[in-house]
Amino acid sequence: MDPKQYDNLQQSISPKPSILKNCLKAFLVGGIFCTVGQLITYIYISYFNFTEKTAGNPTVATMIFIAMLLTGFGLYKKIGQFAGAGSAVPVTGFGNAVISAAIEHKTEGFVLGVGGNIFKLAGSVIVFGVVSAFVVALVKLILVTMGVANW
Amino acid sequence: MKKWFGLLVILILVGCNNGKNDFMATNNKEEYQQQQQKIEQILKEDKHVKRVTAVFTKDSAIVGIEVKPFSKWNKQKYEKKWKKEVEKALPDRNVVVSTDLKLIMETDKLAKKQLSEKKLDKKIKDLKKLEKEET
Repeated sequence: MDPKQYDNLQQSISPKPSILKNCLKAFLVGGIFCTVGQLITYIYISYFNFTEKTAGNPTVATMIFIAMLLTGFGLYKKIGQFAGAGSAVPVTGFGNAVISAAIEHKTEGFVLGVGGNIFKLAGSVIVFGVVSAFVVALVKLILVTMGVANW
Repeated sequence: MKKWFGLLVILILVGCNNGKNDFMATNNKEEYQQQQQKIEQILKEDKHVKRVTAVFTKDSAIVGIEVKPFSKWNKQKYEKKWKKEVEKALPDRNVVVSTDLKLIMETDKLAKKQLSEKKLDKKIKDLKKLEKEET
């Protein structure tokens, strides 16, 4: 059997992932996260001295704190299994990646265990985050030059 | 199930009705009627404005402008323009013009409360400081 035949055989046997269903799940769960984030933003704006411009930072911190609790109690894992990218792409997914690595390597000591491994998963998030931020900035630059939006 | 659906429809309808407010809300002092009308005229012509709320005192004024959803893309540009226009219309006042939700909410609160001029001046000053904050 040559590799091509094997590939065909493998593809015909393995179950097809239902892309549409997974996308829908990710969309819904990610949307719920963002709605919660928006709610927290409104709380900060209406009950504390934050404006639309400044409420973003405390909101992100609060969302990561919630993600930390969910990770610690083992609930984020279940959400992640159901929603996939819907729970990994928002900032809570980043928090989960950092915190779960920290919990996992705690037994190896605080310096070489937690300190050395805390960005094990999140390192890739940072790398691709920076790259995609660059791409988004390029898109915005194009929009601004066209006059659709401004900085 | 059917009952819940009906309830949902009613809630949505009620929610939609509630959004119908007057175009402009102010602290309604007779001395400043003229200025209020001036501001209302300036902003009523603009198709990007959804609602205006304003508070006037002798020395200062705060104008909160709610922008229509799809116009929010260019919010800052419009804000700059409106700032210029309002400052032109009220030359002898310390003016704050903002499209920020926080400022609109606070202005609404000030318009409802009957505070003395001095207190209003101080509040407006505080809000101006808050508006300038970056982080």
